[in-house]
Amino acid sequence: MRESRVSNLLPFGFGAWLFFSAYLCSLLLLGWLGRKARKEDSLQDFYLAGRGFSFFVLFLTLYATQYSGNTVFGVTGASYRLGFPWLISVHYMLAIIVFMRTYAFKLQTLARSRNYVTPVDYLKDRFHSRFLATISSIVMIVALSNYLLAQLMTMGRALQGLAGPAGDIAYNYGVISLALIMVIYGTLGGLRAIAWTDVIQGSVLFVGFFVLLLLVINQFGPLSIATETIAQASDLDKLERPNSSMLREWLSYIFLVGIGGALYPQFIQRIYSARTTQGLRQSFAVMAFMPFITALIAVIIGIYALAYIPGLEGAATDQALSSILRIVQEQSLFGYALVVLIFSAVLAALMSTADSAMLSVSSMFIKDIYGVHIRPNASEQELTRLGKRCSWIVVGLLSLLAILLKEQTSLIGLLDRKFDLLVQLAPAFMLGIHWSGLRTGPVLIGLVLGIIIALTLAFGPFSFVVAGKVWGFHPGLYGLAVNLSYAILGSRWLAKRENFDPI
Amino acid sequence: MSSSFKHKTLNRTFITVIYLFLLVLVIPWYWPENDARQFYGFPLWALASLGVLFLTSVFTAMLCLQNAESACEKVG
Repeated sequence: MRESRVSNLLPFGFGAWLFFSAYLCSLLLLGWLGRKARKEDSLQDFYLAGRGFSFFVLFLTLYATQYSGNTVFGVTGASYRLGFPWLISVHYMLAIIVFMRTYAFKLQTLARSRNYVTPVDYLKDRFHSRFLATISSIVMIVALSNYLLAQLMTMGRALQGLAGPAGDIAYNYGVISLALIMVIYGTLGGLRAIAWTDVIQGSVLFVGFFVLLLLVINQFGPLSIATETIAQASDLDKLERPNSSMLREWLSYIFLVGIGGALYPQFIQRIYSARTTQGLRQSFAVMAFMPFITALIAVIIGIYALAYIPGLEGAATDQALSSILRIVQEQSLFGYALVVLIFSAVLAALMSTADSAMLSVSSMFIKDIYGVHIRPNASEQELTRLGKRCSWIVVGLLSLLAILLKEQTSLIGLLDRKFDLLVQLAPAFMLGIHWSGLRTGPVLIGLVLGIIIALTLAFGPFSFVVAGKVWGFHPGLYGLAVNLSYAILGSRWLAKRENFDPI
Repeated sequence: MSSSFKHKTLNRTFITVIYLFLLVLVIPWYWPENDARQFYGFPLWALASLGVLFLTSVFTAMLCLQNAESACEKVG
């Protein structure tokens, strides 16, 4: 996915900055309250909030975590470039919930009875292989670090767009200040604080999207006039059904983002933190409708931008939303106030996704790497303390990288192969939890084969790889096909061999 | 083979078949490629796809709200 940008907004006044400051201070206050509410100095309390999330908190934390800065800017920008064919973003957001449902409820029950903290705890318990657990940890840490880096860079862009000529310095300050606030509340209160901030961030995001839609309809008129305008501009391909090549991409996105997104470690840890399976089920039931009031609105905004702000090219298309907001902002004081609210929603989307990724990376590094390979006898208190330090180091390094790579958008594009990697864990999680016949060896070899195939196709010099895809399908899916086949056939072959073994 | 195991397998097969059916319909391959007809600003093919997607949401929500599985399930 492309790195998103925010730009073209008029500089905000004192009142707006006061509002942003109050919002950011409320996050710090929740971090402090989260610390006060802790029950013990343990990994379970810090990383899973003592497994005490009810339906309301669980739903809003899942919602705020799933919909990131990319949903706001990336989807709007892609809809500007491609038109209605980018409705696929609504589909793949639902696919994430559909694939999570396949394993989440059973995993929550297991996590509660067996005290899982990180996603890899389940793999250790199920497959009893340190090698498989370590590879899985590395895959998840790499995928999430990339995701966190993208969110930090978008935070910088968000402030850069407001600063006018001083944009470059504002980018650096944006990355550092927002990352600092995030790491403070995240390390003060752990997942409890992060989920509480998600309640605020999810609510702001939810209201912000609705307000955005109303505002755009009020400003530009009904959608039918926008699509007529696009048709008159001879952009009919942006209104017509996707061609057969694009339809293959639809199928690919549904499976790649659906399966990969369902295996995000921060989602798995939210599954662990549910107080009851019933609450988790209710949260998922509501989440199944969220693509219609979030991703679909982002697509519609992109269509409005295409109709009324034509001429944006390349990376500038990611500024489609901010260009729309600028028009609204200039019209009235009310419009200005609403843009302030929407900008807060943008910050909410960015920070709520980034803080969850930060906590997951630190938990996996400390528990699955440090606690297994470096200090196996470390106490829970020691691991919790080190986990907090790890969050500071991870965010510090990635903030530095975000500043150094400010102009290197192509490099970020290359790094952005997280879903191709994450889908390789699907056999272990989604199949392993239901089929007791799935064996460790075939799963491990399948995982390694899948990663090799996905990365080779993605980065190799092959002429048949067009725009990062082979015949419209992402490399990760080819890897997954081999991975899954090997895991199933290998397990069956082993079972058959054992049945015929006279010993 | 116990009746509960049979029931569970049938249930899973039914769910998979319904999802595959919805997947086939949610991708608008069956719609004419050059059709630019609209309804309230949405191309008809987009409305058809969104309609099936909404059915997928309803089906998923219904499955989520079914009674929880036994709490004593074993790993794998």
